[in-house]
Amino acid sequence: MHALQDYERKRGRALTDAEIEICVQSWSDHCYHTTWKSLGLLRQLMAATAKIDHPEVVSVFRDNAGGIALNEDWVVTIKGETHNFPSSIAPFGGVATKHGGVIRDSIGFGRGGYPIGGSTIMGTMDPRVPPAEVPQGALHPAYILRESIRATAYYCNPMGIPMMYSLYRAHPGYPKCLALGHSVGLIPRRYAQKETPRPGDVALLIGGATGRDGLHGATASSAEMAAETRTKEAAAVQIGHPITERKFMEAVPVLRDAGCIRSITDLGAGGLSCAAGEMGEATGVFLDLDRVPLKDASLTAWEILLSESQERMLLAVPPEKLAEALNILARYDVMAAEVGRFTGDRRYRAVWRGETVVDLEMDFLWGACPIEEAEVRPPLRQASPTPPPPAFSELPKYVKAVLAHYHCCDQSAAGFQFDSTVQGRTVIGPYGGRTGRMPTNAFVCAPIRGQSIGVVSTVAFNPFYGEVDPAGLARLAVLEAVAKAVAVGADPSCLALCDNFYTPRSTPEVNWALCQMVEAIADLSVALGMPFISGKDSSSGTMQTADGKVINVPLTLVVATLGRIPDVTRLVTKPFRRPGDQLILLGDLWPDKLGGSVYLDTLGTRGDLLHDAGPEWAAGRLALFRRLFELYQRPQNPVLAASAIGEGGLLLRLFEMAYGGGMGAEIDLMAIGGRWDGILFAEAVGAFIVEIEAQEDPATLFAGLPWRRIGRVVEEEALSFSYGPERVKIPLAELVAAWEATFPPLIA
Amino acid sequence: MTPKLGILYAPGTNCHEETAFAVEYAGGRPAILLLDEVIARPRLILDYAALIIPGGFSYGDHLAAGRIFAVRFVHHLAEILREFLAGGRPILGICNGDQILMETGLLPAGTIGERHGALTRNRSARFEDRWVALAAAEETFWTAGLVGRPLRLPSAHGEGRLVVAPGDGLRVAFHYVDEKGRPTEAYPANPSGSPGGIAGIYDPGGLVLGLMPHPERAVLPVHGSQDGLGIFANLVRFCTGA
Repeated sequence: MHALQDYERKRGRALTDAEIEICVQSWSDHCYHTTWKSLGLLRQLMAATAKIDHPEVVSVFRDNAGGIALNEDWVVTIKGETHNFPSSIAPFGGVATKHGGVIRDSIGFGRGGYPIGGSTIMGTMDPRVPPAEVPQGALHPAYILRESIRATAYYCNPMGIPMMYSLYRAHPGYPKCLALGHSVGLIPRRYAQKETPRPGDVALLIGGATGRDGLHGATASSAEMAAETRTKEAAAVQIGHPITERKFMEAVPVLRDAGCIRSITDLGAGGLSCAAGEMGEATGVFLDLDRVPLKDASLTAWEILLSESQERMLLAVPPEKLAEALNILARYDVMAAEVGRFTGDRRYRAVWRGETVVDLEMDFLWGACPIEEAEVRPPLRQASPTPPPPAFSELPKYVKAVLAHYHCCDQSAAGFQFDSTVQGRTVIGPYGGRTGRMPTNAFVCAPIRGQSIGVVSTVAFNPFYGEVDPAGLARLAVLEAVAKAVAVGADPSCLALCDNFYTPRSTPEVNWALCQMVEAIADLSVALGMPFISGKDSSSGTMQTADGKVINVPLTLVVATLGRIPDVTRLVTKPFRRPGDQLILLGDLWPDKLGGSVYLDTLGTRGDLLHDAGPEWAAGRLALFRRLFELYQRPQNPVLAASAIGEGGLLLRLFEMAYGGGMGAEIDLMAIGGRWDGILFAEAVGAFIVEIEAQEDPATLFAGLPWRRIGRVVEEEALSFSYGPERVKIPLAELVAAWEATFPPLIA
Repeated sequence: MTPKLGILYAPGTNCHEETAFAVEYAGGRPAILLLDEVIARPRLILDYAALIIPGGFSYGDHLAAGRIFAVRFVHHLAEILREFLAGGRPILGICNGDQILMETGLLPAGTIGERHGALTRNRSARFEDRWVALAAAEETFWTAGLVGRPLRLPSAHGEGRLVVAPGDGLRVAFHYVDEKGRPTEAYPANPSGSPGGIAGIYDPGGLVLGLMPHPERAVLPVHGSQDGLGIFANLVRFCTGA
C-alpha cells in the first residue's frame, strides 16, 4: 500500500483502478512469490541447479516450464501447477482449470510446445470423515474427490493428452485441499528458447473470449481461506472449456513452424495484465482493450485486464507474419485478436474507450514490490512414540489394514476414467500387470514416433512425513520419485526434477520448515546431479473456520521427475516373472524407522523417526541408482523385475509384484531382522525389490552395495512370511479383497 | 503404388497423428484433411483410396458424440460419399469416428442421412480407459489373417454402448471377448456394456467399418501389442488392389 502511495506522489497523480489492480495482482504471493522471495528460497534452488550445470538442461525456472534435451533435435518439458484455492471452494471448476492452466504452460513453453503427458494429484481430508467433522466453510472431502475425478475426465480426455499418473491422498489438514496437476511437453530443440518481443511486434490474443469469470483468482488464492470464502470469492472460479484449448494446442505448433511466434505465454493468474506485463517487461507494451473479444460487453477496463477467463494465450507475432498467423488460426478455428503492440518505451500502457487507463513504468511494476523480512524460528518438536510390535500371529490383520489404507489401496476406479494411451506414445501407463490394475508407479512414453528413445516421469507425494521432520520429508520425496524412475530404467545421469510446495501461511515456524525443506532438496539435488528445472510454491495453506479455529495444511512437497530412457524396448517392470527366482532387497531397510508410515497411520500415530539417515546417506543412494542402470544396459539384463519401495513399505510392493505377475512369494523376515512390523511396513525409500534368476550371484551383481536375499518367487498365489520358527501364509485373493474394497465406494 | 489414405480432422479430433503414423507404418501414405477444407472442395476426397475418421471429441461432442461432425458430413458431403463408396473405396471410423458413422446413418444400415441407432453412454456411466480383447466375427478384407485369435487393443471412451432399432440386421465386425474367447457383456472385459459384446460393425456391404477400440495405439512392439497393425495393413493392402 505504501509503495503505491509513494508512487502516486512521485507521479503527481492518483493511480487508476486498473493500475492498482495490476500492481496488486502482480505482487500477490501467487504471481510474485513474496514469501519465498523474502526467504531467498527460489534463489537457493536456482543456485543449486546452476551449480549442477547439467549439459542436457535447456531451460530452468525462467520459462513457463523447465526443459531437458531428449536428443539433438527434441526437448521435453515439465511443469506442475497447484490450484488449491478454487478446487477447495468449487472443485469441478477448480480442478478442470488446474488442468487447463498447466497444459497451457506446456503449450506456452519456448516458442510453442505440444503436451504429451499429464497428471492429477489430490490431497483432501479423508473422504470417509463424518460430515460434522468437516470445518464450516469447507466442502466435504468426498464431494471434492468425486468432483475432481469428474473434472479431470471432463478436461483431460478431450484434450487428448495421456494421463501419466493419478494420486489421491488424505490428511486432516486439507480442508483447503491440494489440487496439483503436471504437464509434460515436447518441443523441437530449435524452438526451446523464447525470444524477446521486438518493438512493433503484434500482441495477438488467441483462444476464448474474455468474461467476468475468474476475477481476482491470483489474490484470492494467495489469501487464507475463511468460512465465507466460498460465497465471497465465487467469481474467482471458472468452468473450463477443453475444446477451445484443444484447438489452439493443435494450431500453435503449426504457427511456430511457420515462424509466426516470437514469444508465447499463457493467460493464467492475473489474466492479460500479468501476461502482457511479463512478455513486455523488457520492451514495453501498449494494449487497446476495446479490441479484446468479450463474453460480456459491460466489462470495465480493469476487469478486462484482470479477468482470468480460461483457454487464452498471448503471442508476440512479427508484423510481417501477422497475415499468415491469422490465416493458420482461422483454419484451425481459433479466435484471434490483435490487442496491441510491443513498444520500445518500457512502459505498460492501455487504452479503453478513448481513455488511457494504464500508464506504468515496467521498472516500477516489476521492481517496487516491497518484501518484508521474514522471521525464522524452529518449532517445538512434537514427536509421538512408536508403539511396540504386535504378535507376529496377527500379521494378516495388519497387512490387510495397510493394503486397505487410502494411500495404498487400489485407486484404479478413478484412474481408468482417464485416457492413458491417446497419442499412441505410451509404453508404460499408470496401470499394468496381468489384470491391468497393478499400479506401475511410473509413466514411460516414446515421444518420437518410430524411435526407441523414451521419456519417463514419476512422482512422490507424502502428507505424513512433514509432521515428523521437514528436511527428511524433502529428502525422501526426491529419493522416492527418483528411485521409481530408476526402477523402470531411467538414466540417473539424465534426470530432472520438478517441485511443488504447499505450506501454511507464513509464520516464523513455517518459514523455518520451508528453509529446512528447500535446503535439503537443494543439497540433495546437487549431490545426485539431478537439477530442479521447474517448480511452484503456494504459501496459503491455511483456513480460518467460522468458530475461529485455524487449520493448517501439512507441510506438502510433491516431487516429480522427468528423465530419459535410452531404449524403451529394454524396460524393467514390476510383475514377478518366474517361480523360483530370487528376491533381493537392494538398499537399506531399518525396521525401527517407522515414522510417518501408512502402518503407523492405521494405528493412529505418526512416530518419531522417518526412514532417513541425513544428507550424506541420501546422496549415497546414487551408487544404487547407477548400479541398477548399469545392469539394465547389459545385453542380458540380470534384473527381471524391480520396484522402488515407498508408502506401504516392503509389503505393498511385494503384494503388487505378486498380484501383477499372478504368482506369490516366500519371504524370510529374519534375512533383514528386527521387529517384524518394521521389516514389512517401514517405508524404506531409496531401496528396491529386485527379481533375479536362481543361479545369478547377487554378491557379484550388487558388490559393494547393501543387499539381502529375502526370499523367492513361487507359483502359488500367496504371500508367506517366516519369522524365525513362526510362519504365516496369506492367499493373494484375501489381500486383493482388502486392497480393492476401499476406493470404489468413495466415488460411487 | 503406395495408396493415399485421407484422415479427417475437425476441431476436437485428437487421434489423427497416431492414426497417420499407423497408416504409414502399415505401408500407406496418410494425409490429414481438415473437414472444413473438404467441405469447401468435396471432390478432394476422390484423390484418396480410403477415408479414416479418427478418435477424439469432435466439436466437443456436446450435443451427442459425433453429432455435429455427422450433420456437417451428411449436409455437405452426402453425394460425394455415395460416389466414393460406389467406387469401392472403404471408410474406417475409430472411436469418435465410429460414433460419427453411426450418426450419419452409414452404420449400421448404409443409409446416409437416416440414423438407425447410436453409440451411447457406457453402462458404467463413466469414461473407461482399458485394454480389451477383441475377436473378429468373420473373415473380410479388413480381418484377413486376424480371425481366430484374440486381438489386444486399448479402448478409451465414455459412449460406446451400441443401441439399434429393433429388427435391424447387424453385421458384426468385432466382439469384446472373455478369457475363453467368447463374446461377452461382462464388465470390464466389455467396458461399455455393449449388447452381445459388440465392439465394431460393418455396413451391409462391408466397405464401412466402425470400431470403438483403438487399433492405431497398438502398432509398434513398444505399445505392448501390435494387433492393431493388422487392420491397417489389411486396409492398405485392399487399397493397393493386391
